[in-house]
Amino acid sequence: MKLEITPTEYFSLASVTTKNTGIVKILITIDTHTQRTVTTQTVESLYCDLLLSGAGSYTREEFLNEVNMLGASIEVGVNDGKTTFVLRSTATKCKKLLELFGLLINEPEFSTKELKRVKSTELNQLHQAKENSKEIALDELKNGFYGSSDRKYSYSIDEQMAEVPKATVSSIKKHHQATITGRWTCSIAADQAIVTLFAKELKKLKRTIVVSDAIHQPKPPKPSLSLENIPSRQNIDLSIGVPLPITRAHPDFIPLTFAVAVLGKWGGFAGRLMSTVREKEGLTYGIYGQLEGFQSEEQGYFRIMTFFSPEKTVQGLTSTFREIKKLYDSGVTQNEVDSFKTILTTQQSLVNDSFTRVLSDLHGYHCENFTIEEMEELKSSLGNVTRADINRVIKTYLNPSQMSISGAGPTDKIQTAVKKWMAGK
Amino acid sequence: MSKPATKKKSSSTSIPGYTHIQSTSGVEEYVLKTNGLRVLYHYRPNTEVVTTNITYLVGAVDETIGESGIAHMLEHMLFKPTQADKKANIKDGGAMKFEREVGCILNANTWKDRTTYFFCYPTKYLQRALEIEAERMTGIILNEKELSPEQNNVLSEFDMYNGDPYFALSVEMVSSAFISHPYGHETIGYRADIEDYTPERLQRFYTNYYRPDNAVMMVIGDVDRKTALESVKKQFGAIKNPTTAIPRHHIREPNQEGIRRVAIERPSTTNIFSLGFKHAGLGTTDWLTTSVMLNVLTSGPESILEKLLVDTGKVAHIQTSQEPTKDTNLAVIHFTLAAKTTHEEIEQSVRTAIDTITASDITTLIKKVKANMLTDELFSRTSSMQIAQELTEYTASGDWTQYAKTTELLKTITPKMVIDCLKTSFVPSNLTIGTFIGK
Repeated sequence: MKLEITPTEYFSLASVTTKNTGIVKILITIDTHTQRTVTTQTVESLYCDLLLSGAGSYTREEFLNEVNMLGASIEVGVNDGKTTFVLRSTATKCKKLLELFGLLINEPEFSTKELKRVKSTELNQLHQAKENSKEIALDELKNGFYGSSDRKYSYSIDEQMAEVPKATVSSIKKHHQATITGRWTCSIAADQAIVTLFAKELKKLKRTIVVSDAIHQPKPPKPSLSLENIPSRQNIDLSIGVPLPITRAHPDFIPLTFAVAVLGKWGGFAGRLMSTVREKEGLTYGIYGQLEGFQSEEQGYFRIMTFFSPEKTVQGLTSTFREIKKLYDSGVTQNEVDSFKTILTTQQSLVNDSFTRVLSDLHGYHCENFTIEEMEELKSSLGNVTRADINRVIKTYLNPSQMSISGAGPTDKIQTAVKKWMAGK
Repeated sequence: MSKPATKKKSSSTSIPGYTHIQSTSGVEEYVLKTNGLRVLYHYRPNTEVVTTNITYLVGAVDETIGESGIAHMLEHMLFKPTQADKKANIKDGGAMKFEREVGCILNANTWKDRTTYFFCYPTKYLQRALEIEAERMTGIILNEKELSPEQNNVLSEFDMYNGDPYFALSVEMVSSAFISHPYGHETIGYRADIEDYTPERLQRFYTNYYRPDNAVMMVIGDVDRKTALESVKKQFGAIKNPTTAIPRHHIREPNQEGIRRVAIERPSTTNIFSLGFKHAGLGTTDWLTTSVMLNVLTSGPESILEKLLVDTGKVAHIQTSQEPTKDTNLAVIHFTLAAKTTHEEIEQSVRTAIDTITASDITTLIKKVKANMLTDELFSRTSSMQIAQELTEYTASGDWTQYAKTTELLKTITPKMVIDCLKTSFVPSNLTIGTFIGK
């Protein structure tokens, strides 16, 4: 596999060039965030379905027919103010898929009739989301960390449902305009011939750029407890964390990544939280921690994600905070530093098992404007962190007394007990 | 001048200690002569990554009344300390030590017909991975001290699933769909059974089913055949099988004579109508035809039921489940109702729509579904872990070579076959209907 990044005036193209895989995957991300409002959040959500509802002379049905006859797919998603297109096909059908994609970008239909349909499906999905306790807990936590104009702020489901009927074709078109004029970060995994084809198509497709300022509203840590009662759930979903006053580019980011891995390595069983709260104490099925929401110029946060049954919530929180405090008070051991250097280095190398994983990995760094060399350097720097650096950043950023707790589920059952626990913490 | 010695050209699949059974599509099957362990090997160069995946042919189907979920409980216990750990005085023993040592990806899962464990790691750790895998085949320490916290974890897992209305409804539906067959209980088991496990019952299950002649070891990745097979032989070759036969149930499900209905009521804003129908096991043309049929009905905005119900706002979304199992199983289509729609209305709409589909309605749609399924298959085989997962399901269904045949089988599926499948799947005597009523 050969990795390359080629920036141009209007877009940047990263490629993972393979041989004889016969398939193609393309990721295109455009940062369209300027200011979050309930209107922009709603429009972003409606845009994804509406964009695929007809283009050029094709109705929605005809357009979908064209894509599906190729055995291909075009997906659109918007997350934290970034629109991402995912295109997949076999190599032989890629050219035709790119033509259809071009049509979507240049001549989307955005009909009133389709907007009516999309609004109806959106309202149904928002109604369902009212019981998604995991997402609700996460959104509440983030809303404590960011102002309402920040890309990571989420308006309530009720606010979004009130806004949906107000959405207009013109607001959707405005978002589309921002999508096509924003800077495109494109990454492709394919054979060389297809990479060359895609580069050529991109040059035809992407000939403008308008870069707008993006509002970023991080708040300082202010520990809080938020409990959203959803009586239909059986467990209490929890997000626990703290906003961090650094960006991805800050030198503390790497040792902090290391510290967080020791505490709650995402996936697997190596982190302290999994080995104690789950394995030794049997309090939950899963408990992980990681850094989230970071960008090269925007501050992120640390978050632990877990759930407990109502009767084990106080015990679970006690154990979780015990581990955070232990890390804060005593830091990581040298054994842990040595062990996690191997663990994290290995995890990076396992990406090579699949060229689509290599693509996703590369695209993540590409979206943050890293070159290949910077990406490699960043990855290898995890192997050079020192225990002193890691323990310093733990003391600077991971004070348990600064952490907020957000829970959703049958919280009425545990409100009193948890508040009492918080008061005594 | 002496004659040169005659050299017999050796087969590339001739590895001492093994019988080569067959090869297809780059996957080779061997049997270890000492104990009957089967090995599947597949080479993927230039990644420096290997996945080793051991599948034991034991799952929910082997469980008896009062011991539902025991196969899954045992799966959790296979990560606990072993006799080898105890002997070496290792403080934090168990298979997870491999993750702590080298940073591999590891996990396991239990299903109706099999339990599978995998490690994904850099090739240089192959011996260590196999050593750990061999240790836990027969050496897990099953006692109260290790069982108790893990029992709590499994109960926690149970509560996590049980809180999901789709899962809770599926549990009721399969128990109604299957009166006798063990597919009638979910793999995780019933809560009361989980609470009642003892180390002795687990030990009995472990001894009965965790043995080389009931296992298939897959080695997939950037390692040459000789190294892979010799390493497996080194670690597993000396493990003996018990002298007793592997216990198996022989159960024939009685005929169903009409629609079966179940309902759950819980405080919730969610309402679900679910349509379950029985279908053939994995690896058969019928299973694949069912898969095409389900896609025609429910997959994506061009599908028949999405157009009828999601686009019109009657249903928030549709999700399906068609599990890869050896025997006849229950596929389920779940419809999440929009706020003002009733279960009865959706049942009426769905059953009428299905009953009135003609071949001409779906001919073009089938072409698209097949095209997408073929592309999905290509994408699903881009990593060693994915390949292992897929091979696991075919192995458990009785014939791993079906893995190599899906593309050709898919091409043979015609609109008439799909219409026939629709007709037989949705007759009343094949249906189980579930309703989740949010109060």
